[in-house]
Amino acid sequence: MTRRLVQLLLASLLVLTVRGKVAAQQAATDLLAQGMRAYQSLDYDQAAAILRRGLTRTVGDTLSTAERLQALTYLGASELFRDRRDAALAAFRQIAATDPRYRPSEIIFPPQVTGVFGEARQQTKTVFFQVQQETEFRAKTEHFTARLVASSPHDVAVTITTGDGKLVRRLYDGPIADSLAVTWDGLTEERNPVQSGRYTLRVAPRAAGAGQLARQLSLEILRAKPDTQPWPAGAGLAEGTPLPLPSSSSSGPAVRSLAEGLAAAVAVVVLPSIVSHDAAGFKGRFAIAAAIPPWMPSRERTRRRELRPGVVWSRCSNRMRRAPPRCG
Amino acid sequence: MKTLVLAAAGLTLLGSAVGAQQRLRATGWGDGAIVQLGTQILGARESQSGPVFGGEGRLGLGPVTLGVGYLEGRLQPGTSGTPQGRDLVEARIFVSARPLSWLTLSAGPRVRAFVTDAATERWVWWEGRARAQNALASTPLQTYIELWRALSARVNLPEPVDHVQGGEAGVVLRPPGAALWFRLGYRVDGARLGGGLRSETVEAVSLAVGIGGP
Repeated sequence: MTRRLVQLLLASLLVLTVRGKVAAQQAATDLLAQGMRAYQSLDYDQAAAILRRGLTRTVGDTLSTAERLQALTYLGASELFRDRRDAALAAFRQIAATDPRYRPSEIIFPPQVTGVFGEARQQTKTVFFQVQQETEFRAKTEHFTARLVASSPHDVAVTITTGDGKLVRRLYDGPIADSLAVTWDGLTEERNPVQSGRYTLRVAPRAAGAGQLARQLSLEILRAKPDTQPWPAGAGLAEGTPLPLPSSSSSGPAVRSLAEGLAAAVAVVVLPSIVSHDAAGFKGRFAIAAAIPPWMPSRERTRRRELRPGVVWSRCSNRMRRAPPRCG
Repeated sequence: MKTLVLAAAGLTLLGSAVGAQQRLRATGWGDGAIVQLGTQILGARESQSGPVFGGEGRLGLGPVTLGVGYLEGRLQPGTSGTPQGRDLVEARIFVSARPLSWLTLSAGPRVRAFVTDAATERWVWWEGRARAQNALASTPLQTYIELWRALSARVNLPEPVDHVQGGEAGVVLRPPGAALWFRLGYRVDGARLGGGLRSETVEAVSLAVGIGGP
């Protein structure tokens, strides 16, 4: 009896856990659909109330970004027709701060709405980053590139700072219209390569005021160690003598890799005797064991290519914050 | 009771993952293998072999993964032993977790049946597995070794089960930028019954093609 009761409770828990998530998702998307229907029926009070409920009910990513932008557009339009222009501007500013390329459909929304949307977009001064998640570049001769997309034309200051806000390098100070590519060669203001660590690419609007949003991107810089022996002091190489080739200074990873491959190969061979003393030992397993170690040399070749001197890796993660208008 | 404990553990992990709004991961693969079955009864040995095909699907949420697997094939007698072939059918369900990036622990029930015209030999066991899988840096390859042991086992044979255990090892190739991966592996499991009066060994060389995480 008790066992059956426990089983019933566990089954109910599973159903409730799964249904709860689905119900929350359906509620948000249903509210969006209901809000759009109310807007189309010219019931703007109802539309605004429903859409606002749908937007505030969102937990995590229950509404996708596209759905959220759509909900905000209908909300802004509804608020506009309720003669609540400030509320409409606030909704449209949220859109401009989320996706600078987004525009309300001119087929669905009248010029009155798209006009106010344009106004809100002009008032919102921020940029969005378009960067590769992982970049490898040689300091000084190559560079890391970040494309900035602006919500509206404005003046910006682009800097690299340390994690604690100390200025490392000024990259750009000037206007941005639609988009702008900023580059960084991995050097400080003193033209020295930066050390490994966490840095911030920061874009701040130069003018103070409402709607000014600074953006920052966290960069994780990893400097590769030179894969070369130190230059021999007073080597006195004669002119025309070929330079010494780089040589690998550490064989640890290659040995570890070889060990991992060999372990798998040995496991394939000895598994029958470990698992079952009566196993005949399928001869086909030797083919698999043989297939594993020959791959090893490719690892060493690739590793040698990776470890070039002065190479810098950057790894990025996006962050945004409402910020003071000027960059320190 | 064991079912309840595992179900409760699974639900707890699933619940925490759902609560944390994590993304659902799906993995699946198809597997073709040449299987060799060896049976030894009182020193007399017989063997059968044949192709077996199957697949496995997994759904992962946060730290926990739920999976189901199935395979089926026909084994034909080898040069010695019984003249009769038999069908091999196997299914398993498991819950797995990854405490370390290279280590996966899993547990769950497995059923296996050898079907002949005259009788069906049915195995049911609960197994605990540990799998070590690591990428060979700068290559698209990963190697893996997996060992498992039955926590409890039942079979409709007269001899009591002493133990059932097994292992698998091989290599996984995931070409850069490709959605598919390929796995070449060798697996073996052995069951000992009646204090050594009877033993059964199933070996397989398999090639799997999958999508999602290997």
